[in-house]
Amino acid sequence: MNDLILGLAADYGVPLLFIVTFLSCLALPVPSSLLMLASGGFAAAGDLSLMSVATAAFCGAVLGDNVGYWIARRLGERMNHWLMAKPKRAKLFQRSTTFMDKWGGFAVFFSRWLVAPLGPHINYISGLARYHWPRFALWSLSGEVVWVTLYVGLGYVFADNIAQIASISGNLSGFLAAGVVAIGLGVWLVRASKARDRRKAANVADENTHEA
Amino acid sequence: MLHRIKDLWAHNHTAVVAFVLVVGLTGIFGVRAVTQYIYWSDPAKQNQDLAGWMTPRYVARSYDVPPEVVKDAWDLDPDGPLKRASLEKIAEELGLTLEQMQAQVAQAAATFHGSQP
Repeated sequence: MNDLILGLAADYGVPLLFIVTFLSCLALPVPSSLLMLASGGFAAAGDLSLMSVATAAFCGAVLGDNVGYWIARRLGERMNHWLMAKPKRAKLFQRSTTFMDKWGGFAVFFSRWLVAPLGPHINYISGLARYHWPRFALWSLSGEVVWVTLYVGLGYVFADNIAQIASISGNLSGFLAAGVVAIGLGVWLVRASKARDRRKAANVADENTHEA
Repeated sequence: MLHRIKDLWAHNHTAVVAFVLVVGLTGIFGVRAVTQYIYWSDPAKQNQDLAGWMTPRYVARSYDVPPEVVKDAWDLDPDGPLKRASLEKIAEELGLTLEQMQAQVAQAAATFHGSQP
């Protein structure tokens, strides 16, 4: 998939970059970071204009974020009855709403660029949780400015060796995304276990008072 | 600590398995980022191999030579501008392999850098 899309970069240039960044924001497995690096490299070599590369990547990404958000939001509203039908499901929904209320802007902004592999999923969660749309759009916009500047900029500056910058940045970005998920899961697990301890202790205390 | 692990394994073992997998994945990516960094720090690896997705101008940029040097090395249309096409297509048109094109451009770049101290 990577080689196939990268092979089209020379012939389809800027429009291809727009389509690929758009699709990547919907969680489709297309190599958007790699294509941004290569397009930045082509701009440095004089094959493409830096301004149109950056604009296309930015517009594709912002459009993709918002389309993802609205697909999830419409779907979530239509499935409201289903979401609330089971207590477990309703609780999960409630949790994601609470999470987004508390951390929404932070999650949207940093999942655009620092932990980019999580970005598309945050779009869907934001929509499902009915996160305030203007706020979502604003954080998505500012995050995408960083993402596009970072990758197109790296491609432009390190144009001499795209293979090098692509392999290092790809692994680094995987490391950060997996690390954040690991920390999140770890914190959640420890909290759940501590809550069980507290409940157990409360039950014991409760029984003791009954016995007394 | 042990008590905590036992409790988690008893109550959330799917999440514990997922946690271990994600930690493993973090480690793999981390190790790869470091080894790739070390691999590419070697100055001998600095000249990247030609790949099908590259364009002639990009090759010129990568080998630090003016586009004309690349144009001459491959005998591309000397009067027309250097077009934005993938090396895969150009190789097909010229009836060459990427390895042959690479040898030609490496030699031309060496000559160019040799003549321009």
